[in-house]
Amino acid sequence: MSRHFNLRRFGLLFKKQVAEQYKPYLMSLAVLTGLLALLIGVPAYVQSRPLVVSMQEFLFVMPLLLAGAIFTSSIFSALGDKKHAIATLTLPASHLEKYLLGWVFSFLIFLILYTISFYGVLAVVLSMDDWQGAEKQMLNIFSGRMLRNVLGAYAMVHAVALVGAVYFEKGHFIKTAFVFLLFMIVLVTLNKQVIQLVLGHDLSAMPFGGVTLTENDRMFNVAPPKQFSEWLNSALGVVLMLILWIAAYARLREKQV
Amino acid sequence: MIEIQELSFGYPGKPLLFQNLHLSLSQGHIYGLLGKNGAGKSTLLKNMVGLCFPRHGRCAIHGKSVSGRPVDLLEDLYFIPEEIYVPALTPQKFVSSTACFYPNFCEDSFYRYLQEFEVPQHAVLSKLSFGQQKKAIIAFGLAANTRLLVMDEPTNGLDIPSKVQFRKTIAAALTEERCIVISTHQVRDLDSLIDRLVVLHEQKIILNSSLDEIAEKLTFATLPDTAGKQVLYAEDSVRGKQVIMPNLQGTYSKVEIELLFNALISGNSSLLNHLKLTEYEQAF
Repeated sequence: MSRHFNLRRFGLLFKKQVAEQYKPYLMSLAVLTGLLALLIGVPAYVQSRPLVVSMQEFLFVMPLLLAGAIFTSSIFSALGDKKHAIATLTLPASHLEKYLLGWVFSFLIFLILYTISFYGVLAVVLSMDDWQGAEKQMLNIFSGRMLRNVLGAYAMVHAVALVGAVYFEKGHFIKTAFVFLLFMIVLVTLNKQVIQLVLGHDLSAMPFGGVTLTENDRMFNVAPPKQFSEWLNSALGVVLMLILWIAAYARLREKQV
Repeated sequence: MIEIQELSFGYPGKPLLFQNLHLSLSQGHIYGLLGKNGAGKSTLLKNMVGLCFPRHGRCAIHGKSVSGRPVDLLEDLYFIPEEIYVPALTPQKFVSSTACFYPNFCEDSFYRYLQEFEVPQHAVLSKLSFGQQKKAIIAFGLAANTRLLVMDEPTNGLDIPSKVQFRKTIAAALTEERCIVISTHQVRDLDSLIDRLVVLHEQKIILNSSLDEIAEKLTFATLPDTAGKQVLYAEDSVRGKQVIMPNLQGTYSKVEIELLFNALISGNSSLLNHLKLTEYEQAF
């Protein structure tokens, strides 16, 4: 096992990454906190009503996905620079350790720091917000459903961004976003066209979802049972995410300079 | 130490740089790898250290393929590319973050090498000049005490005193266990440093020989006139003709690496045939 993963060596790799990158990471965290302060503070100040939980949820999730995708896309940027790639690939640590280092920083550490930063800003803004006598309410992302949804959404965005981070040499985020959008357009179009061809009807259909069609002015919705559909979508999401994470690792192993 | 067998390599979508290339390098030697621009010296070195994967054939160190970049091989090799990356750290912090990956790293040697190369010990590496950065990385590579040290154009960016110091330091760092490979197009920088010469030309290794073996077979001289002499190769110079002749008397002359290299890549078949013929004769 030590050939592929050694905890001591991984610790040394982690220490090296912190020593060499702590300055840009701290600056990025400061920028992120500033942006969150702006995103949360402006609506709280401008709106006459308090910043309700649903709004807080939106303000937590959207910047998380966007900032997470940008940060993850850059996590293997060293491999895009010939000089840096040589130093990285010849460093005596396994591919798995180098991959896990990027994974830990872009998934675990990013999520933790983002959450701390968000709650820090939210606590300050909520303390200054006028709740007009009502009890102040703060978003709880640690509730079962919310935590599962946030982690699921972030993991999927992370997996896509991580593949792009290893695959592309420059402009990781833009190129990944472009390919992802292209893929989604092709998937949605093909899905609709194939189902229309099979059923011989004009209909509306989303990938991995139900089909809605109209016949004799009556609308029909064909879909698996809700519970099964939810289970199927979750399972598909997990499988796709795992495939993308493994693909990123495989690409790192194959990296040449 | 390094065994390259039937190596064929080409970048995707481009013609092959090497075809069926064979090369064997042993410990206890400093190899000079020479070749014209674009001959593929850097690519060959990258194949040796696992940064490029051959299309066909195998490159192994101590019998182990380098293509998977196994950790135990990486711990025992250090590669200094032509263009180097240095982090924004002082040499001291760089040692504290990176030396731990090399089991035989000697910190005292590192600081001694830095002193020899006159690299400031408290400056941030990324803020030093290119030449200073290069010397710091060479010092690190030497202090790593890996059995294989591969350097691609190490003297590029070094001033004249630094090149002299480089030759002295590398020569002193050679041990029986170590194999040092230096690729360069500045042939004079290898003078009095290498003991084996490897020439890469037109997808093949056309020469892999020790300087002693070459000196036994060839004589290098400067003559006013070549009339009546058995000359294998000649070049005009300000002092007359620089020539390479068969060493028929068994006397030793200094191998003029630049002249030999020019002769080899000029397509001079009589010189190569002489080197090969002598090998054949010696075999019997």
